[in-house]
Amino acid sequence: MNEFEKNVKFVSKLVELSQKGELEWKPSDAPDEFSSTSFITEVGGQPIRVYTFARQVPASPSSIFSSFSLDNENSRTITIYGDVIDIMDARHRVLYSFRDVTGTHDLFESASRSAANVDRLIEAVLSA
Amino acid sequence: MSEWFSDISSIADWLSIFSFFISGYVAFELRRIKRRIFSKVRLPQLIADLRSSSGSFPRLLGGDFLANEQAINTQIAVAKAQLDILKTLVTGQLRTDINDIIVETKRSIGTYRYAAMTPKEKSDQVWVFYGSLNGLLEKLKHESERDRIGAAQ
Repeated sequence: MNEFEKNVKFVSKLVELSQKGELEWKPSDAPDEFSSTSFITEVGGQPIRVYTFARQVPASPSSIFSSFSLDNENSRTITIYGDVIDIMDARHRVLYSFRDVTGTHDLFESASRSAANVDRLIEAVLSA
Repeated sequence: MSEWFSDISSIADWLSIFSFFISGYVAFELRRIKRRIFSKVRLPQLIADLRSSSGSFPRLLGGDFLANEQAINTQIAVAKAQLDILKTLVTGQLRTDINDIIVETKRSIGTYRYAAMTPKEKSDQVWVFYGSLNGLLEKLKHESERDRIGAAQ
């Protein structure tokens, strides 16, 4: 199994554990002005953070990004969207980042749903 | 005079053999170009569709399996159909990888053994399928990025 296959398996497993309720995610501040609210959990005592970002960069013909959109017809910028998983130390310093590994957006959605207790909220509203 | 006709006739024979091979080559090239354009146009959309299918599994598996079982089975069928189409548009290792997932899925999901499994066991099988789809999507992403880099150079 090569490195990127391991990365995908790692992310897919995090999604599975989150959806099974075995990982508890908590909301946290956005890492920077371009990023969404982040969500943090711990796996074996190691904090893991997930967040998404949208960043505008100058458009150039040679720009190669996994996902982007032209802001408008005459625009000279493009917006790059991405998802990041940060592996952090106990003091929440970023040690390593997984960027745009397939499944990371699923993890962000699972974490967001878990942190917001959406399922419990829906049940509470429906049973009221 | 008859010799002259004989020469002309043999030249015509050679030319017709030559044009036969040229026609074959042109037909082969046309088919290759058509296939290439078709895959360039269709592939990004198919990858996006497969990504969307894969992305729906966590939500469906996160809830009550029995309540979502029908939707999960539908999503598996959709993903399988997308894999079948993708298989015809890629070559080499990617095609082998897609084939492996299709064969593995046939062995694990949709069998009598699968039907007799508990919801938890079924859910675990579908999580494996989800992981395989993500692995394939990552490879497809790397391939399409490599194509884009190739095109930019």
